[in-house]
Amino acid sequence: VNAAVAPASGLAQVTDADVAYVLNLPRIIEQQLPYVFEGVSFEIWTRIDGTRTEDRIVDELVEATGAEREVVARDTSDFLATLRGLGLIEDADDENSV
Amino acid sequence: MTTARLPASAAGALAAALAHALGSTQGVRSLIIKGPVTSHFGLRPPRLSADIDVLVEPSRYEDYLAALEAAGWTARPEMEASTALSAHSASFTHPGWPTDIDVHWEFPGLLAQPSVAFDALWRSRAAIECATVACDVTGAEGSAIISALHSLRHDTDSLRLATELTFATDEVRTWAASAKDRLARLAEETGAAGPLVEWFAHLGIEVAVEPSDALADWHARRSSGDTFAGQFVAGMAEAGARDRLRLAWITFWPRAEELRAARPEIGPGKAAIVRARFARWGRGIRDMPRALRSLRRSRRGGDA
Repeated sequence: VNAAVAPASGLAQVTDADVAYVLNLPRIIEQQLPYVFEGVSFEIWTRIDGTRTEDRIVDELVEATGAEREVVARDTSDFLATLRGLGLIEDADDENSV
Repeated sequence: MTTARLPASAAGALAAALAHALGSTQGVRSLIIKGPVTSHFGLRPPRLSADIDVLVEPSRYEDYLAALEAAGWTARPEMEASTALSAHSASFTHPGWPTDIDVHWEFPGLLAQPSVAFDALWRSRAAIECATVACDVTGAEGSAIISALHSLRHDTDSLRLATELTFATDEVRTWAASAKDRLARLAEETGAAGPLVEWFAHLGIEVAVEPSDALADWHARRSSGDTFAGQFVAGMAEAGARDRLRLAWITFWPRAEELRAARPEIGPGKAAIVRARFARWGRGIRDMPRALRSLRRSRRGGDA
């Protein structure tokens, strides 16, 4: 879990205060509606910037929420797997990893 | 993460990015026009647009529509008569989106051949960011032309259109002489110089205008107001004898299913259809005198 994660290329995105709307343009035939990230999903999504690794994201969420690391790590891992399956995120170049 | 609750404020930018991407992935040239583009160039006060307008290279229009339909968008029902008389675009909707995408194959008032007008606008295009995607849009000059044409298309008392025209005019006044010159040349290339000749005179910008049937038709349609009767009178004046009969038939006797698709508020049963037809005729009769007067004026040499 050392590679940084980044938004996939070609996404359209609007961020409005604490909500992000993301449209997967490269897969628009199958994914015709924008995804809405809010709450915890928004906190994770906005940390997916091509420099943070999954571990780093978990660390930050634990610090921000005070939740148990094991729970946060499991939920974050599941969420990132979902995003990866949808083609919304990809591994960033290793040199960017933090 | 959900796919619900898309507010209009986010939908506009995302729909513009989508409209752009559909063209670029198919290799179809397209330009986002009006609304957010006009605001971007300071030609209109910023405000949310109810729909996104995209002008597509005419020869690839069907390819673009196919891509849009593959992405789940469907054409809003139109009366056959409306399409025959004044269509220059088609509106598409998607059940999950709060905004329409209007796809234009031409724009009213660009009197050059649609492909000529599009190529000229394409050469002067710009790119603006919509939802983090760089989208091809009409440049400042093309946007000013389209904004002015949109405001002047109907000789109505619309306060919003008048305000927008004043706003655009004030902005163009601030442009450098070189930009005004580019504006005039683009208007001539696209065939907008004639329809906008008074606007250019008001701005102190000289344009060359050639009289043409298309220009006379523009004036006839414009001065007949924003009414179906006006479009009908102008369309009948243009059409040959055979087309006139067809136009009259589809205008006065639209099919029941067509009426219901275009006006979902029509109730069930044959009586509701008859009432809808009568109401349609009533509106036409009310608006017809003005339409006929404007056609006579335009045939006498224009009313611009």
